[in-house]
Amino acid sequence: MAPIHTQTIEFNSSGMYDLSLPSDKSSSLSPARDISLFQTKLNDGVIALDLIVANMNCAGCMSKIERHFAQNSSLKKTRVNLSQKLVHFEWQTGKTTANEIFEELTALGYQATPLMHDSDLVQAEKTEMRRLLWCLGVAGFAAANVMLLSVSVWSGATGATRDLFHWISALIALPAIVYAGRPFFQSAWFAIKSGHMNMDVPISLAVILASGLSLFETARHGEHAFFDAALTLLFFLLIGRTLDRLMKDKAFSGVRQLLAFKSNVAQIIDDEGNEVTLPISEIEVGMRVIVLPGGTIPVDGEILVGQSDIDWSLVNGEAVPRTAQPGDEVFSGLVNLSGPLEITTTAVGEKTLLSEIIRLMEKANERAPHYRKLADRAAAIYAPLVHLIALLTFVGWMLYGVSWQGSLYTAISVLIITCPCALGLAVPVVQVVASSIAHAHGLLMKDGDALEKLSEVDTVVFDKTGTLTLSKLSLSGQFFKADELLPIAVQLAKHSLHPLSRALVHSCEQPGLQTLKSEFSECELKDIKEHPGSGLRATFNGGELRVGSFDWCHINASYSQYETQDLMLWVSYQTQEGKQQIALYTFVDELRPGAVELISKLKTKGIEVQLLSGDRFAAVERMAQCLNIDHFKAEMKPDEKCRVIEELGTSGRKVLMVGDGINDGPSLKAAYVSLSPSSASDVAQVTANFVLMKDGLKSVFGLFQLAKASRALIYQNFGLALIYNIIAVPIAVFGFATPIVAAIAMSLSSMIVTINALRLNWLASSFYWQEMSSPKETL
Amino acid sequence: MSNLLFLIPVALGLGLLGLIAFLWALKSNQFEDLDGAAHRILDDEDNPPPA
Repeated sequence: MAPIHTQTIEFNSSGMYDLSLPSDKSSSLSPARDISLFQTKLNDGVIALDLIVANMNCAGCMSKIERHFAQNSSLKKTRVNLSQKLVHFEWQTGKTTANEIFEELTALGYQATPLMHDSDLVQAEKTEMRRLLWCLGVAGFAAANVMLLSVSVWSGATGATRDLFHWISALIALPAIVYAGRPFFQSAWFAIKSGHMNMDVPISLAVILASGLSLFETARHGEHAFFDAALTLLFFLLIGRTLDRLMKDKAFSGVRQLLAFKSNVAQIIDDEGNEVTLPISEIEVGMRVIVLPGGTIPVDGEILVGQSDIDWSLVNGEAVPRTAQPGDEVFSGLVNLSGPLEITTTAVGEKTLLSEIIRLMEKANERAPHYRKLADRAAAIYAPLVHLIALLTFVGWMLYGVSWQGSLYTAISVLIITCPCALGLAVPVVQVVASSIAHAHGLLMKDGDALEKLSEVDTVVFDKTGTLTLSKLSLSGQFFKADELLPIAVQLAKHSLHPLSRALVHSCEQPGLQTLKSEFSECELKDIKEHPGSGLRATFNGGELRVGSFDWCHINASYSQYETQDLMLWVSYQTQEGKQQIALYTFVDELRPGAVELISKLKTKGIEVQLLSGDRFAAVERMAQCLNIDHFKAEMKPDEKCRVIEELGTSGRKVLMVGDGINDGPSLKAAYVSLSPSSASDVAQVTANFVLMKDGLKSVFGLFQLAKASRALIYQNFGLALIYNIIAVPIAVFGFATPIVAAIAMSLSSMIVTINALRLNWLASSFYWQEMSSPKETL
Repeated sequence: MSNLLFLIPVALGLGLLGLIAFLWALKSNQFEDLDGAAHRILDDEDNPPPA
């Protein structure tokens, strides 16, 4: 497989490298990727490729892409899937290559990412959904047809006609129940085997007993058969089950899309000195890996050649990059900023830092208390109660002198009419509505339980870098000849990926600053060099321009009193005559929009807020003061963070952990419920229960309100189900529950709880959500 | 009574037809891209892209 990037990197003795960037800056700086690793072979030499296109939002994009590729005769098929933001390509082997297609799509202005081959897990999820839909289809068909026959019976069919209708009903209903009821029967069986009680146990019992009783009644030419009730019950419950599944699938595919953006291939140098692109999973100890500036380091290793600044923020929460030299140890997940690096792989698989974190997470998971869903907790009370009433009904009627068949009939009709149809539907409908509301406000909810748990939370623990901040620096102060030197300093800074350089460039692009003009406006920089760990240098007008650290810029020692914090950038311009002009720019890590509001809102609701960070004490303290957070801890290691969370848990607190780093993984797992931003590391995103897709934090409070409202609605639905039972049970116990009563009662209660759940939509409109665009705040 | 002998099979047959149509739609991925399908029908350019 040929690598797509043939850029060669030459290291010279001082570890400097030439910054003569090719015209297309972005592609040369992003880590190399061989898209053909993601293609799949179909029959007859046809090759297929799926690309995720994140910025394809409307019908216009869809037709633009499809039309563009329709003109390309080498492609057999191009099909856009707008819901999943996927483009599917098919072509005959040799006609074109995956990389060409990828670049063509990128040239159209779309950010494409190859979709990973579906793992067995994804396949299993898909089959599961399909199976539920088949069950739903069969149950719907059978329920409609049996109801048709039942209506005829209710409207007065007697004798042989009624028997015929009952037999036809049985013929349709029994196979349909056996087929469509499996999801419930299986779940109930597992629950009983492991000694639990869940909602599926009473459901299964009611369905099986109703069918058995109806068959018995049909055989002895009885008046009542409950086939329609059993099927309608299954149909309604399957709708709930399918909605539940749909919500999970949606969240799952969202997470999958996020993860696909992460690099999963690496460039290595083989024994002959050629650059080869390999999937990360195939890298072995001792292999030499090339990491270009801007790339994520794919393995744990030791630097062989090169000097650079390394961004540790995802691994330990430090906001300021560290300098790295040959011999230094680096870990997978770090981001290389300024110079290309060659790394010898020292650990793969089990021995890496990442696996260590994953082991910590597994431990945290073992210790975490098992959560029981609200619905299952309700079932644990409800099911035994209902079964007891049915038993008492049977015994009561027997003592009264009714035959055992008659008594059994009444007892079973109690079970049928009390079957928790409304309960089975109530919880999933509320969760689906809540999940779609959350999604509309940029929050991905991975499972319904998380929402239940969130409503109980009384403590929120935040990570600092990347969670409360955007990991993006912004200009906070400028001193000395700042205005005059800014234009050339920015020109020079454009050649570096170091966060301070980028922040300087970015600050100039803000409106208002653009009008700045000085004698240096029309300037031309020559001999631009970056010295990783120190700064940039260039020749300008015969003089020397330097941007970087205090020492690098040869600033007079008398200015050292200004060297007070880490996020500072010095600029010096030494003219030909030897006159020095200096400037100083200071930066702060930009707060996420809404962070201040979120924390003050949480505090007014009596929720305790804590800050745990791996960053240095001074930075954490400053942040805590600024956001008015009383409890904070700095310089925390992953296991220490995790321990703090566990201690909070054992002291009875329900903790929401908000974090983004690899180091937050174990604490996200240990917490009662967790959230991570979409900029987070893979580990954090996979672990967290919620993913925040936007920059703004304000919506997190909206999520709290949503969780509380959902819980209230679920309780209301339980209440409605209880009222229904208070009315229905006496009717059944005294033997008045005919099939028509059961059918009406069941449908009515299902509809009421569904309508009640839909109220969440208008309740949520008044919640506290992040506006689409908000003014930037700085610390 | 004799009406029933063909009316019931007709009713069942119609229902079955609906079920088969649903399962066929499911099998041929008709539910894979709900948003795209909604927009595609509004696209009235002369040269529709080949599917």
